[in-house]
Amino acid sequence: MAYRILIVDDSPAMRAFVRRVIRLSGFDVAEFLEAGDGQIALEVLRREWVDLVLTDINMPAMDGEEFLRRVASDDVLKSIPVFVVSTDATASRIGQMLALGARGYIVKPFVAEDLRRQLERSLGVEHA
Amino acid sequence: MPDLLSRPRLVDALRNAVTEVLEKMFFIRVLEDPREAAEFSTHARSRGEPEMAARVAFHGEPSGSLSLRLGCPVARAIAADFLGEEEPELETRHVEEVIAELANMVCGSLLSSVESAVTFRLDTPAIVDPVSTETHYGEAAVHTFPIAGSTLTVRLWMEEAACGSSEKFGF
Repeated sequence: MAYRILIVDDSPAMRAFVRRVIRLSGFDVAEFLEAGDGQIALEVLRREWVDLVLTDINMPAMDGEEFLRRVASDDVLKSIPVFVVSTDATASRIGQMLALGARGYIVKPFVAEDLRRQLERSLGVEHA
Repeated sequence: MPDLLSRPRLVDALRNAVTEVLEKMFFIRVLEDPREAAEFSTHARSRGEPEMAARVAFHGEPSGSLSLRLGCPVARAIAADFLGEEEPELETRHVEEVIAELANMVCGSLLSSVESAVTFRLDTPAIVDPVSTETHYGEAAVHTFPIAGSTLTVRLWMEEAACGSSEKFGF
């Protein structure tokens, strides 16, 4: 299966890095979509179907917490797995985002293997 | 002042944050020899090497900002590795975006490790005049790392610094 993945981060460099890491990890990606904040990400999700979302937390306009809250409260969008990718490694923040419905939480800095393992486990796939 | 925010503790946390970010995301091994750091610092400044700097403000308890400053050649090399691109293909904005993200990751990693009682929030990092990072008022910690034949200097300012004086604790 080829995945359509939405990357939500206000850093173009981080979006490029995540794209690169996912491709190098062997994931079959049909397309990457990108958004610079939660508001743009919601607009993307309302017109495009994606298989999973990777989102930062600290972003302008709409942060990752509010984005996740909106996704979780939407009957259509709530089925899309959302992973948080953030520098915030505090237990309180991780617990908060998981309680809001995040499927996983990846702390920056991360090694590619960590990202791949989390995505594989949650998506129920394995790659060589 | 809680022990978590003592200057030695902050410097250690700063060193660990930078080392971890550079090794995991940028595949740069930091060798912590103070004499090597001082030597490279002298060479870089004496060569008049152009530099760039990034600063990121954070809000929490306490609030403050973190800056990092490094030579442009090493910044370009770091950016190329991070993005998987060849250096000649990079525009200045690409390099700046990577260095800004480096500041973001170091700051977030540092704040997570000192375990602020309040959830912190980071502003969008910005590229700044390198000279502006030399302000010592409110400086809580500073450390210079030797990397790739040059240096990376990271400074932390906090609204309520661990030390009331402008004492600098460096390696």
